[in-house]
Amino acid sequence: MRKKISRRDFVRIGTQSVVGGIVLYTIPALFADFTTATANSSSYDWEKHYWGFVCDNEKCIGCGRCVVACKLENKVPWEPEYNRTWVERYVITEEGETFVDSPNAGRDGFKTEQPHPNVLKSFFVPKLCNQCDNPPCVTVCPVGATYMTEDGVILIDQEHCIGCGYCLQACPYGARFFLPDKRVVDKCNWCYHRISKGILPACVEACPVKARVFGDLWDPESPVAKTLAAKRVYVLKPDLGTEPKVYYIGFEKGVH
Amino acid sequence: MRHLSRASLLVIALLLFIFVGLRVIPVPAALVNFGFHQRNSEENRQLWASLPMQFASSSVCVNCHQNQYDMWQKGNHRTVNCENCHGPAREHLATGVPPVVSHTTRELCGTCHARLISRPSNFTQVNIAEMGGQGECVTCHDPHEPRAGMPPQVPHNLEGRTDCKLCHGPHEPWLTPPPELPHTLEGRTDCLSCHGPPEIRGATLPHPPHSLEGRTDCLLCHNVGGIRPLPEDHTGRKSTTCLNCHRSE
Repeated sequence: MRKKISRRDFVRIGTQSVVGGIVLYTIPALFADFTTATANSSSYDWEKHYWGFVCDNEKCIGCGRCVVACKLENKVPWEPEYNRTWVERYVITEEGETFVDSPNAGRDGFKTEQPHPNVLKSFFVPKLCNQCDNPPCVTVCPVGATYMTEDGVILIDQEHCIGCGYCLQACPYGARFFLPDKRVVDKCNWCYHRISKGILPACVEACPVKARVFGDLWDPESPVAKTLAAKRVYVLKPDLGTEPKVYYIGFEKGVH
Repeated sequence: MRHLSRASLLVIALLLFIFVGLRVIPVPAALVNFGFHQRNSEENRQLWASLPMQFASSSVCVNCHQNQYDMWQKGNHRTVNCENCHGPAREHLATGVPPVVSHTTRELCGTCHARLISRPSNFTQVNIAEMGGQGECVTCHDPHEPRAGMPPQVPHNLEGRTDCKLCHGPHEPWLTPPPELPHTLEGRTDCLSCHGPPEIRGATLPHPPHSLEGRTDCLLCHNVGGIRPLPEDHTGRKSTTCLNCHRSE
């Protein structure tokens, strides 16, 4: 025969086991190691570098090899909607109007002229993530999935990203986009897998006219530091206070 | 009193459940790992840093392709990385499968050299629809050294000057003399027909000395072993490009 159990005992045992179960389940989480940083496997010391980038609008020929190299290097979808870097063409007319276009993000080069008469000046502007020192995208991320590393590059933890898209709205440079298959955000990280091995980003390697310069801002002998010392540079949308680390040569009003 | 203590125990247990239990249960361990709502940035950084590279850079290509590398290093295309045209080397290095030698169409050359108002004016630009006829550019230009076998171009802006010998001839003493002509002239008078920019150059090279009426294939007579064979440095060229330099008038 089954042992009869009183209602009082049932409630008591039930409560005890539930509370006990919760306590037992909670204990390991409370004492979990809060500093499970994985050991630094490579010899790269990220506290010894601070990366910077220079784009020279006066040299850029708009061939779009950087866009192609970036897509192949970083497995960015080939469609022109998804770009870690792209090239824009600016046409300023004698009437003072500015026209900007970027057919296929510059991936296939620029085949035809813009149909505007009376062109005062025209030039190409390469665009990529500015790796801001004061990044609005990091500020708005509700889950802390995007962050700045010690060497000044903004990375995205795509396992952690919930795809809410706040950072796409927050970035004033339009550097971020959704990966179509993963539904998480992606953007240029200056080829972090290359620069952390001491190799130039793919777009810098690909540029045939050296319109893209990359290097260590803390090393006075680096190409970037030398360029910054020798040339007058400006950044995009300086009034926003984002403090970009992509510097441009060839200032022109209306480029942003 | 016993029931009171039991009730308070129940309340304490309930509070513990609400404030500790509920906080822990729905939050996965990964989230608590580095404080609430924080990812393990070091782990993620390592992940980004460990991704494989696709482009190897020309300094790797030289290990096997010394000849092409040497030629490329001397030429005007030395700033164009091997993998720009040949594609990323990763698979080629890993498996030995020949890289996709990129297409050699006029459009590919045109991505850099088609004339566009937006390009810097000192960059070499041509009318890609007409330059050298309709054949492929690589018929005349070796992509590794596009000016191989061709007379050197004037290295400075002409600014409307037409008489080269005014500066480069045997001359009055100069303060900083321009280089003298590096070869004998043998009756040649127009320097720019060989050394000028493409627009001038093409129009002034030797004209065909006979009428072309009805003839379309120059190589029918002028091929190697023909009546008047083409010069050695023209080897490999096709009839389609002759008339671009040797115009008939």
